[in-house]
Amino acid sequence: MGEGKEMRKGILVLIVMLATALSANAGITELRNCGATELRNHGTTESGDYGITAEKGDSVTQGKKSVVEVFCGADLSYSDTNIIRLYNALINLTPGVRWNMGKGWMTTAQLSYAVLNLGYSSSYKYPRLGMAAVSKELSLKKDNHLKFTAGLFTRDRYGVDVRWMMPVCSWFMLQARVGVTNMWWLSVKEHAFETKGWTPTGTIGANFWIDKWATEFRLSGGRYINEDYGMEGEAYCHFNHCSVGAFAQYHELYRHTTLKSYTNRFSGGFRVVMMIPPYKYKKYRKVRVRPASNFRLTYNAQSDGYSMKKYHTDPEENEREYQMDVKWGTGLYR
Amino acid sequence: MMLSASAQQYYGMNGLINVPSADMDTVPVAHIGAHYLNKRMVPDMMKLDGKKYNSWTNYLTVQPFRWIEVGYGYTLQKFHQDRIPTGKVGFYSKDRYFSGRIQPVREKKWWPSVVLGAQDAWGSYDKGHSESNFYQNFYIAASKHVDLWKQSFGFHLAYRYWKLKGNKRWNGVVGGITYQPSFYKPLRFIGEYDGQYANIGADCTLWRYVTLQASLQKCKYFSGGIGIRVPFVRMGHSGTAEQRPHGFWDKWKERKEAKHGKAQRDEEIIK
Repeated sequence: MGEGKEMRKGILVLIVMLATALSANAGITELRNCGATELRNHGTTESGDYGITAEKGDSVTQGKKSVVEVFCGADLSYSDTNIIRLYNALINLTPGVRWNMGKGWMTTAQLSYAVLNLGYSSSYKYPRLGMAAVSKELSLKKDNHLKFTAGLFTRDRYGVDVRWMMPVCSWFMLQARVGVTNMWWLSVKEHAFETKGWTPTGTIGANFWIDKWATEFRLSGGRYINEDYGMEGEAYCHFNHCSVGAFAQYHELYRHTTLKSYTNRFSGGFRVVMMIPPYKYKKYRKVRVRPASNFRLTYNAQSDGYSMKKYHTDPEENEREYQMDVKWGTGLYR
Repeated sequence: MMLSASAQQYYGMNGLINVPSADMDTVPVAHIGAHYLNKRMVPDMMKLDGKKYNSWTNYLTVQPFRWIEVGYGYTLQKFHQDRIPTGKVGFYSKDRYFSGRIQPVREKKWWPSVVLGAQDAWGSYDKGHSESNFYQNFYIAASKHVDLWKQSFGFHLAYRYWKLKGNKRWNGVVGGITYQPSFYKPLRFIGEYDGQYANIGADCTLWRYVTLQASLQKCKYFSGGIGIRVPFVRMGHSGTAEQRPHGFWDKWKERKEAKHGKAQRDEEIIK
């Protein structure tokens, strides 16, 4: 009986989120009519399209009491794509706010403002809305965890996203993700070649946890933002305040835009996620001002630069922490 | 005996100066740093207007387990600005490389540690290969440490194969000796033969987090660098409260075991 009630709640949440997404679309039209097409958002993750990307983010807080957190981090985008330039670099300040409304509801918003831009698009000179999303988390029977999110995500996508996680046993967890997103018209030039129009995406995968070595393996595959298919394997070593991992990707030949690839199917790289103190807060405060709690760096060799692109639904999403309160893997030590 | 090792610091991996060793750090660790290279340590292919030049390297390496180390690094390359021959000369490009090493044999009382490694092993280019694997080399190395009069001596031997012709001078059997004084074990003096020159140097780990290395190639020409050493503690291994992992399968098993236990107890009571 209780499970059915939870399901009905979930459907209601989905409807609310769809309405939110549609209203976001209306807002975008207004901005475009104001002639602000150069005002574009920069995704917070894996946004250095050909090189290193780093960011500060924070853990997801899942408390019962209502908490508003105001935080500020920085995005470092770094790319090495041009032989006559040593590097392109971009530092964005990313102040954000997260309102944990209790009972699994959460609202997040993030601004992005470039303080250093060497070689990236000039559209970064304007402050931009990096993310604005509402989410609802549900824990169902048999350790099924669901999270619905709607709004503006990273990589200039807006729409609806649903995640599912189910720990099967202490070392094995299933997970999946489905989303329908569209490109925000105020996106930056770096994302200009990505898919426009409503695009369904989805991945399914499994996580394997070795508690003795605090090591995690992840396998996943599916359809990504640019309507391409691929699969990914990841391995992470989790330390007390840091996670280090490597990943490998195998994808179809990319032929969806003018930037076609005829040879490259493999890609790979590494990720480092470092937590920044203070790691825990003992006192309860209604409003908390804090620094971003982690620094994230991704190096992706990116064989063609457009395959297997994903968006993030939380301004501080990272590979160390699950986006749901799951008592499994790294979630045991949160 | 295993000691906390120092890095072959110009690309961040464990080793001597320009010679690899079979040492690994004793704890999970990461290194981030920068190194000045005099032109005698730079591959011959890195030339500007036919002349070699001194350069810099940066690196990030991680040793997640006792037996494996991986790293990413690059060496700055000089070019004329915008590739115009009359343009200003500067570090306008770089050569990137990935490196890795594994230690299948750990050092024992009578047995040396053995490492298999590769530097710049994998290149990425549009056709799936790179024509600029300037540092590409593969090696097998063995190391043995001996304590004499509380002083620690290390003996290192390696066979190295460099792929590009310009680096053949470093091919073959190479090796070195290290000395760590009893009064300060993080300090290490190095003497090595890299296939072409005899080099000397010293490296040191200061305050657990900072690594320094200074060396003289051919006992004359300076190279040196500084790095940050970040030791890790594995998650859940530092005395933090561990919670029992669970999933629906585990819970089902627990319930089943509890039922089984109850049934057994009931049987015992009946008996």
